[in-house]
Amino acid sequence: MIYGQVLLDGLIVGLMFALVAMGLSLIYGVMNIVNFAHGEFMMLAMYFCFFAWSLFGIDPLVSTPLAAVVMFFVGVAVYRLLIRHVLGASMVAQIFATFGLLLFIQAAANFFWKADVRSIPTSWAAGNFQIAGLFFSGPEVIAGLGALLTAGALYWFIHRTETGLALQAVAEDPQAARLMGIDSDRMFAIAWGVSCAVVAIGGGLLSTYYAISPLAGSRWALPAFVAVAIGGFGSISGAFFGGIIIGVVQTAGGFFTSPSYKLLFVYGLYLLIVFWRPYGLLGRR
Amino acid sequence: MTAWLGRRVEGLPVAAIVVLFAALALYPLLTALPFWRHIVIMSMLYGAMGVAWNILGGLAGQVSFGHGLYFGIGAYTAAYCYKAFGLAPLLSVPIAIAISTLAAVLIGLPTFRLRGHYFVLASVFIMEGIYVVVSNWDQLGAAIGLEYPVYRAQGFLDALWHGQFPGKLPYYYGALGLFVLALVAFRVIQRSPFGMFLVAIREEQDAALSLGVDVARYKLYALIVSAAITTLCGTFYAQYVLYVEPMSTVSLVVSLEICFIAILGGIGTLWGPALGAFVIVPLTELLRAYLSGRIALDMSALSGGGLMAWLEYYARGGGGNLDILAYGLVIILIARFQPAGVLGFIRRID
Amino acid sequence: MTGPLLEIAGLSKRFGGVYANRDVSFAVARGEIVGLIGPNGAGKTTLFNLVTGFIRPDSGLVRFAGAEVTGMRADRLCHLGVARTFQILKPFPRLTAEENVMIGALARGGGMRRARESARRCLALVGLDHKREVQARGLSTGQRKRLEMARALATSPQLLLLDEITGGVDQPSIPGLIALVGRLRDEGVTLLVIEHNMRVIMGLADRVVFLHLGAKLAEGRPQEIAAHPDVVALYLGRRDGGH
Repeated sequence: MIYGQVLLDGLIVGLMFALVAMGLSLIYGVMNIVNFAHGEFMMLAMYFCFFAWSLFGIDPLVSTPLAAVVMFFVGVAVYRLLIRHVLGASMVAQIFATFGLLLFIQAAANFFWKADVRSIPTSWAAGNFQIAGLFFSGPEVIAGLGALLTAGALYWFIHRTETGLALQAVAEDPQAARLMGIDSDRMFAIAWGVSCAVVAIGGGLLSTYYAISPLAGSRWALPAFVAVAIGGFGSISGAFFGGIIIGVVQTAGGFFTSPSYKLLFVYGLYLLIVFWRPYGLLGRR
Repeated sequence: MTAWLGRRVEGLPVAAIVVLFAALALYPLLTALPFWRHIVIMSMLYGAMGVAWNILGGLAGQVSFGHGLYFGIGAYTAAYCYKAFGLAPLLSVPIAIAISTLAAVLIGLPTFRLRGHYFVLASVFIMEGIYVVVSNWDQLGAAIGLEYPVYRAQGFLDALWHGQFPGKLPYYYGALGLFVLALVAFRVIQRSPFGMFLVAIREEQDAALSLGVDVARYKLYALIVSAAITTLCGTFYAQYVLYVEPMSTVSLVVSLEICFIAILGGIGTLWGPALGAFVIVPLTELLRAYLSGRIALDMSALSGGGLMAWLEYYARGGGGNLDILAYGLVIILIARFQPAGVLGFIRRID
Repeated sequence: MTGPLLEIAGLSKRFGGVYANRDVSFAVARGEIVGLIGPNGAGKTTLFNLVTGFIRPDSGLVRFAGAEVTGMRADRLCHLGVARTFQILKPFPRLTAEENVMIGALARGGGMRRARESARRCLALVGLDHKREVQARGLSTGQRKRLEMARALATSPQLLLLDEITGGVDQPSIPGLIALVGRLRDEGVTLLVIEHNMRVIMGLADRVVFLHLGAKLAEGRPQEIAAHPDVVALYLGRRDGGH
């Protein structure tokens, strides 16, 4: 019975990781950049939903899609202002660009909103229930379902829409894509926008039950990076399954030993997989 | 003689180098302000680590965010051996270097097969994992760390044995020694066949392999040398601060600081990290002192991994964080406009 | 010593369901220039990669100077005396031409001074001596091709594998490259040369191996290959109006 609960909790956490990881993988697949600031966009979305609630009384489940739209444009702006200019630079410069962004956004959040932890105590997504002895927390279940839906929507977008296929083309072979008339600059901007929108949905869903602070983004992002590395950079489905695996491993590991060791299991799993498959389970160079 | 003085070491005339280092050596004898002396000591220490990092990151092109490990090995070995066995810190150095070499091999062998971002991320994950391990390792003081008993030495040799000096002067020259050691090591490597192989590996690994360069072996050598120097710096740090804990040693923060110094100064160059250290360390210390205010650190309240803990540390800095804001902005601007670092402004680097 | 310098027997490699090389066998005798030709995608460069240890073959044997070297890592093979150039050029961009070639010389041992002298000699041989202080990324394609040859030559190879040295090079420069390859042979280097340009191969090679879809279709003297019905049909066919 306890295993079932751990598995369930792990799955829900894993779905949130999967959401974060998929956005990361998308950007890397399309333009070979690791967005170290990815978690910060999630954090910004959380604050968006918080202020929507505290200032206007809007339920976070309603403001989540709004946050996604806003963060889409934020992502495009970040691409246009910064990322586009380091695309041709060395890997070190690119790493620095997004890492500096991480520090900047987080410090700005700290500066404007202080370090105090906020939360949204009331929401349409509330309460909890039991099924077959398993304990379900309302907000977490809704968040998990929302993540699943969003993951599905992203998958559909990538594989079934024209824009999504164009993105895949650019990821596969930028020169050929250009010859086919695909504007890679526009695709890159879209990739950034979609990636930030997806992670914003994650943030919005989390804001219904998770503590909101300038650090919240980093906490969720770090295991998500491992998830992407395990699943294989560039593979959306790899990121999805990587996220689930990491969620379960982290929850189980932390439960059966101690919460302070939970990340060790994540890193340990990463090392095991990377010895066997350096580029992840589904990854490509 | 004058011809020799006019020769240039990576753009800088020997005469200028002599003057600069003479100034550095004489500085503590001329002024006695402890705050500034401390800043110069830390600048030289981080400069040494930046130069050491540069052997692997700049020459060989393997960007690692995991050098905090080797720093921590030096610090913790010294502290632990002293507290547990009463071993003189200087004698703990060979032990620390042995441990760090072993760690370098264990980490390098599997991760050097990875390329590009994958290698960088692997170093991040390993660093974070080690932080978790050390923070929970009771023998090493877990999150609280190890504190040295203060020892009042009688005489110089006694102080040398216990590694604790009453004044700052011996520490200053110790740091200066490490700084010079790192620079000399880098220069010797840079001009040797070994150094050329490292650059070849950085520029085009497959071509190097096809020309008979044992890529894996040389990467490992670079890491071992780089780690050893960093470990020495860790030993020094432990004796200087007399307090060793995870966040200021085996954390991603320290790794990143080392990296940033090398990269912001000028990656792959001899003087770059030195310049970077003398710019960043004073700036950081000053910003920290005047903008964030003094922070009482509650160790037990920190949770999560290394980077998180550091960010929390700064988060508790009250209305501050302007120093990180500035830091982040500067990093973005450098990445966007001048990836060659500060040195890139001063002279054209390839 | 007697016996071929390079022996390839039954070399095969699959990627997914496709055979990049299927059961390829031939030999290269000391002092020969052997040409490796075939249409695009015939598996020529893959064969180079299999021989030089960049890719592990699924099956088959590679013997160099009588010793088995199948799957040996590229740097070890280089120390035995096998060097190669790359179809997609891989110069060390920020190193000068001289430094580029020095890497090849240094890996053989000896100090910096010996390596520098060796580099100058090799650069002179390929006609790049005047560019030795120029960074590799500042050289033209033709110059980079010659740089790669000089670099490989600096490792004092017994066998040199050249991959498409005339690709992307303007017509007037080609005779110079052909003469250069001849000079390499005079230096005592055995050569296995991938080439697209039929005229170059016909004039240069002692023997030619023709690959198609990963398998060896024909082998023999250049004139024999040029007259071989399968080769004519596949490679030159359209121009002859047949097929």
